Amino acid sequence: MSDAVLFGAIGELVPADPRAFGDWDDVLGRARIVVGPPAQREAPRVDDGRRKLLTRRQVLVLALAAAALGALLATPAFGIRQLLLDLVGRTNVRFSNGKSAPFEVRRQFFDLSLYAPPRMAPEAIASQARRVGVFRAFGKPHVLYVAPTRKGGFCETFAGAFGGCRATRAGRTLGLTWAGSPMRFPRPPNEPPEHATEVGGDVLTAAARTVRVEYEDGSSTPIPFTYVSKPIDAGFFLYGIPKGHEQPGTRVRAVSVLDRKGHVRARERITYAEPRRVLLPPARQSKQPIHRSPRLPPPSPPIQQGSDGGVVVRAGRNGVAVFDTTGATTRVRRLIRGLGLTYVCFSYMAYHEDAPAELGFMRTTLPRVAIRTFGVTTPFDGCEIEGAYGHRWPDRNGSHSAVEIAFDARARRFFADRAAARDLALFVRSRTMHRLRELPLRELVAALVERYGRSPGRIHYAIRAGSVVFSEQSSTRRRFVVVVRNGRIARENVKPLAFVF
Amino acid sequence: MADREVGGASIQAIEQIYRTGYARFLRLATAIVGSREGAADCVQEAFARLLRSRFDYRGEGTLEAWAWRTVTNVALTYGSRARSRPGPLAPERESVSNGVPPRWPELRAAVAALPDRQRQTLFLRHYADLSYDEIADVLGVARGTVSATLHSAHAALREAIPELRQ
Repeated sequence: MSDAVLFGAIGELVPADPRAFGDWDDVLGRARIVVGPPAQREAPRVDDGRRKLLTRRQVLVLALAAAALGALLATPAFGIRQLLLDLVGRTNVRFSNGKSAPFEVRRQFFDLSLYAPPRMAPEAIASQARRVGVFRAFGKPHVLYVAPTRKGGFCETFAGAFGGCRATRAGRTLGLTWAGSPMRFPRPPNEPPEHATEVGGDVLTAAARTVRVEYEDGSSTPIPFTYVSKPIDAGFFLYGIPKGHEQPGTRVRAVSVLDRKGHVRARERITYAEPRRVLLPPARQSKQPIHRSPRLPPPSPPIQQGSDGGVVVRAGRNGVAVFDTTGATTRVRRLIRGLGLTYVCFSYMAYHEDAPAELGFMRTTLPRVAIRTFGVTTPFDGCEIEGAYGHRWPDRNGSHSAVEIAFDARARRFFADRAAARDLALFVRSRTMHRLRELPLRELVAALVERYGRSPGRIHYAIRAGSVVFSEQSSTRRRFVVVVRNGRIARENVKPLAFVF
Repeated sequence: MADREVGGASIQAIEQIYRTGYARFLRLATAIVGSREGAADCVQEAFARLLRSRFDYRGEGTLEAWAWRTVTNVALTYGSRARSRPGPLAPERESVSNGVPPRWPELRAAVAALPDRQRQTLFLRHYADLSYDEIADVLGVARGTVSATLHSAHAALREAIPELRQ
């Protein structure tokens, strides 16, 4: 084989990136060379023989001034140090002083570990989640909530923006997330190319004094950031990029973290890449994949066993559940026909008292289907197979799943309540109802009477205070309600069992 | 290569080398260090060192050779500090990149097994894209030594890979 092949292969080991461009300003910063107009940049080297020495008096004055400044900075009572820190944008927050996060946020942190395999679970301590600050981007407030993790890291969420976790304190000093202009192809000619509109992230060094956004034109802006005390021990920021930084040459280039001496402690760049048109070969009629069960250990004792419609499930303490569909009835067999059905097991647990935490896997129905849940506590309350049939009102299976196996009374109530909530939600959000909801109240009522009579199926409706109240009662006597006013959902209680819009 | 300068190098000359050769400096450092991020850091640090010691440049070699030497040394130091992190040319890294195995796994292992001097010469030739004379300048050896070292390296690589054997 020729040298060309060998050299080509060597070249492929470390691919060239001709688009890579460096950051000369960063080099200058590291070399502690002051950036200024070209004439000033090259500071002339002062020859020792010609260097003008300071007089003793000047040295004494400078030393006294330095000592006084040092005392001012070192003594917190003077407040000078904090004032200077505030000027460069750092706000220190004591974690213990933060207000406890609302339930939804705590559940969000808790759920981060719920469905992840053990090694990937961040293990946020949701009960300790606290509100530690508010960041504004484009006038919109984003509350920052943080929670420590069991491995010494933290999870954070900027409400309405983004969030993330560092399960441990390993990894990069600066974690960067950025949001940008929408990726559109082809991009309209009058629209600027891809650019960042928001940057946020976390900083893992307590030495951080300034977080700086750098632009491609060489300018930079210090941005506010909040440093949260232990056990979080990290800084956070979220910044909306001002207008005027959309075009190449002016866009955000990097975010850097500087210490009190102005040294760059961390720096992360933003790489822009325009979407490339990928010419795909003409679509071929391909066979849908069969979703087989992975190789799993058998369910470990104590074993839970239950059945519905001839489908038997055996679930173990290790979270493995095996569905045996060989004895399914004809009706169920029809419902679970298809390549991708969802096999689910669920439990009521912490942060999931109103509706169970469930974990489902797409599987093709075979004689034996196995799943393994992560995070969902065992013993389970129940398992189910969600059919491939569409959920349109009226649902042909009474808004029940194809197979519903309850291991206890709580799961039976859940199945009954969810069916009622789903039925009501499906009705209110049906295409017909979306059209009728836009009508004035009188016309809406007339249309409802004409189409459905006094009650559409199990649903009742009534006019109250200018609103239409749709309701349905579950077999457990729990009543679900959706109130529609001026075409919109004014109130409802079908969440979290069903979704209405 | 840049002109020889006597009694120190100007910032502008160093900046020009940086701007024109950045992609190649980065590629060389990536080959030595193993990670793109680490390599970028090495290049930055190497040029910062060049700037700090620019007055020490006595014009005994080309300024560009000095830059290549500095980048190589900084990357080697970085690599030795981070020995626990295998480089892209180490065989341990074969099963990464989204389940798609990297190409040329045997070649990767063979390059990693080369003696240090052969590997450095190979990198300067293939990733820095330097001529034999320039490599000789960077490494401070004769041109013939570069030629012989590269010949040995290529032979070792061909020998290590059955598909490349004649």
